[in-house]
Amino acid sequence: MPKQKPDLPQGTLDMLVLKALSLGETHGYGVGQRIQALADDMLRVEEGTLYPALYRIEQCGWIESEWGTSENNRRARFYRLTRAGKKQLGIEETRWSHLTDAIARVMQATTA
Amino acid sequence: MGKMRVLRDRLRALWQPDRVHDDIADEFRFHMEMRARENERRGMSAADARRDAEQRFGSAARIHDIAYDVRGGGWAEALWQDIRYGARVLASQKVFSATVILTVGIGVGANATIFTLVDRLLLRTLPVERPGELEQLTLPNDWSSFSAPFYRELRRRNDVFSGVLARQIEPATIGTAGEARRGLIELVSGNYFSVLGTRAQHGRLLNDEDDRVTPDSPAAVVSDRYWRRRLSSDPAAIGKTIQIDSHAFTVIGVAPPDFFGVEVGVAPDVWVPLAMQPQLYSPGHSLADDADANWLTVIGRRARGVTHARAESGATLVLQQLQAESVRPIPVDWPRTIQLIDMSRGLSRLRRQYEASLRLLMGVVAIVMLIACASITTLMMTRSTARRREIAVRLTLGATRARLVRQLLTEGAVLSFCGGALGIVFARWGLGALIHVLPAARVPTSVDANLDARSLVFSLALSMLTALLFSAGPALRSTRPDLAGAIRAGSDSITARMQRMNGRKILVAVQVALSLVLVIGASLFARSLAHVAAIPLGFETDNVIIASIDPSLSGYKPGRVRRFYHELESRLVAIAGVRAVGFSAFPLLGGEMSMRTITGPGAPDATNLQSTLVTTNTVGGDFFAAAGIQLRRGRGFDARDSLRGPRVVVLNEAAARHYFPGDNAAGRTVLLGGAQPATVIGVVSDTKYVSVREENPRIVYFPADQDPGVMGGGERTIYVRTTGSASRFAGDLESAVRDLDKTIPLYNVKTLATQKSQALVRERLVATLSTLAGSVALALAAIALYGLISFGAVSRTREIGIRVSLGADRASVIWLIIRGAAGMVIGGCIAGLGLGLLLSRFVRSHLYGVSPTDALTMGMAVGVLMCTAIAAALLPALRASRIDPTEALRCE
Repeated sequence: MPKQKPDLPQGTLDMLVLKALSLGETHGYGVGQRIQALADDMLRVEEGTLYPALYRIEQCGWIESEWGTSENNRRARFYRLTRAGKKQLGIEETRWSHLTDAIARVMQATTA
Repeated sequence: MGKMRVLRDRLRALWQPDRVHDDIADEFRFHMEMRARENERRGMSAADARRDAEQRFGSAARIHDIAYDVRGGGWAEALWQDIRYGARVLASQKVFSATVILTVGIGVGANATIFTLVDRLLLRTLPVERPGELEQLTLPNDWSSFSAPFYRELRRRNDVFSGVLARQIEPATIGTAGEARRGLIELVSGNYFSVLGTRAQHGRLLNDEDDRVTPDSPAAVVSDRYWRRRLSSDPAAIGKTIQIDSHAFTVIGVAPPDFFGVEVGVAPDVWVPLAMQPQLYSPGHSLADDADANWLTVIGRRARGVTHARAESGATLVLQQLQAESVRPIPVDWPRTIQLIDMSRGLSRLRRQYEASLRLLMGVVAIVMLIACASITTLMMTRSTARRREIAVRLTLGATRARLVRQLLTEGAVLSFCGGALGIVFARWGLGALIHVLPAARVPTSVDANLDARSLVFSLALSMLTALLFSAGPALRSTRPDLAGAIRAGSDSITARMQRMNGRKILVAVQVALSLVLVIGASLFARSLAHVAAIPLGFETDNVIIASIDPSLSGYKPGRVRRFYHELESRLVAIAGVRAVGFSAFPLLGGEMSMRTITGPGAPDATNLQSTLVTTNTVGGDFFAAAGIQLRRGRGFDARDSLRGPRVVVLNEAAARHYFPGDNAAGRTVLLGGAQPATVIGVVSDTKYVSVREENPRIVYFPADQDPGVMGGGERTIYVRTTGSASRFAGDLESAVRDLDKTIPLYNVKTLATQKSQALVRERLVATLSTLAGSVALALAAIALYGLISFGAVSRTREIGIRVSLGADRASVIWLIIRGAAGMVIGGCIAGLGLGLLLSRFVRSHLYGVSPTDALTMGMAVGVLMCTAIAAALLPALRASRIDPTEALRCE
């Protein structure tokens, strides 16, 4: 089997964005960098698709944004987790661990 | 919070879509720059770094679109685009747009006007607590007035109502410091407001304590309107004194703004306790214990869980108990059951008078709306044919069908919206005009002339529905994929064209049919009105001016009232050009009358009310001469018939025949109330009394000077017969009264002819409005016919050119074009006649002296329609006949 970076499962990008922003305020590029760093470059994300996700999450009120100046003195939009976002991250983490537990159990049963 | 934010963002995107686009692009650019820098840091060349960054980012254009879907205006922006595009397209086709807007405007305006009246008078419930529980007490013979003792006992004994109220409405002179005006007061039982469940806006409302005894300074509640207009919305007005018929009342509160009492269209200015009846209603004579005086409307609120039927039997039980005891609430020979009438929509004389007419007019305006829709659909179809090429181009360029249909629907909606707005303007005028002609009887009517939210919603919903109706069909047809082939040929196949022409022909035929129905209706109502107006009244309406006056409101006692009228008469008679002056207690054709039991040889049994209850009027001065009533035998009233002289009466011929069959009545005696003798001194000709369409009633006239002036106070209608036009004498009449006593107001000054035409207002209303509707329908049908025929003629230019070059003459070309129209018109007429016959049973009761299937009327209506159609077809036909064959063959 050829080695391949897995695509992101449907609906998990939001959770990853929240997780990345829980480490502190950053711009869109920073969010992408963080996700890649955390995944040790194992996940493949089309970088541009991050932005519609960011906008959608912002409309949910989980993050908020502001124009500011980047480390290299460029105008950039910075994102920050809101209180609601923190709560949402908690919910998503629990759900995710339940889901992976369940899937792991099923997979073990079949191999046994 | 999230929702608000999204909405705010979307709206911002609506105003500044470019800013949102720039924002997104900026952010993407920043991202790629960062990635490129990172790549360079790792040792890539600038060009490679750039390429890699772009590759990793993905398709920027596609992602931008996805991002804009999230951030931008979304559906709102697409809609806004459609609207702007639609407005631009429509603005470039001014004649088309104006025609559609005007047509929708007429349709919506007519419907909103009638709907508002229907809503006010027929549909809306009273603004009180749980109006569905309210019931009005009546008898099976439509009697609905009861005595104070009956009300008191019913309230005490019944076990089916949680509360019972009584009320009576009455005109009065209401004065604040410095001014007095005629207004309306409602005498109400103390529990009136609590039974209705109404709360005060300021101060408090009346309660049973206020109604207990006549206090020195009785309490009064004023209406919101009165408070705003006369008390300048001053909360400190509570505790102030107002004068009602020269009695002082203390204002204790203001009713809520939407509260108008219990009678639709008759809104009192002031509510006062029933206990004040001896001062205000039938002055000087207490009716509190008078079981014979039936003057109160009685309304009950059903107790929880009590059904309509059970409430009816409960009230009937009380009536029968009372009838068995000494209290006799109703005459012995009347039916002894109470009928409860649903009061949730309030009492309404106006409703009773106009319900049938309004329903009829509702039908008429609905037909106008249908015609408007058919007419606009025809226009839309013609236009979408013209736009076929544009649509085909857009389809081939990749626009989806749904997108184009949405665009066309939006254009329709824009047109309808403008039309609806215009319609609301029309409706405001129409309503103002209509309410103006509703007759002012003794109790003036007040229907709010403003369109409220319900009417506005109705108008908008109607125009949007219209938009859907007239634009959906053409939109779906014109975007049909196979039409895309049109772009290649430049013109479509003959069959497709024929199909569209057939569709339009059918629509025009439908319009012709509906217009014919309206024209038939209009001519029927016009002829009916002419018949009613020609009914002989028995008196002469020309050159008579009338006015109402009531000196007792200025505190005159009966003796002084009599002197006042004598003096007024002699002043008026002295004016040059005045031929006769008279007075009557009840105005002719005023919709009211008094009745009395009188017996005579032909009708001896006083308990037989059918035979002995007779209409009466009390008259003074030279009433018969002033009103133009002929003296047949004996003499009229004169100075001999004073309070001290023997009791005398004058009969009309119908009464004379009834009481003295086959005999000369003059000089004979009748018995008033079956007991008191009165000599018949004369017989006068028969006249109408209450209304134009009644049978000539039996009338007994009493001389004013023998009226002790107890019942009905001193209100009189003055009649002045003049040489030449009577309306010139209004000023003389007013100054004569002012010279005598300037505190006595003169009101309802008008000519007797006006009084007659006001008595026919319902007939005139229906005739005028249906004529108007018929004319509009004809005009719309003519426009549609003209449009269709000219379109047909233009698209047959080539054919006509060939015919002419082969030797056809002008007449045959004209005939060719007209023949094309004949099918639609004749078909439409046949359908219209059929429809007219079907609908005839709905109008029968509205007609007088003409049958709803009258052949002459129908023939005339068809004639009018044919003439209009020929006129509409002739113009394009003439134009076609002038086609130059070489010119015609060269084009295309």
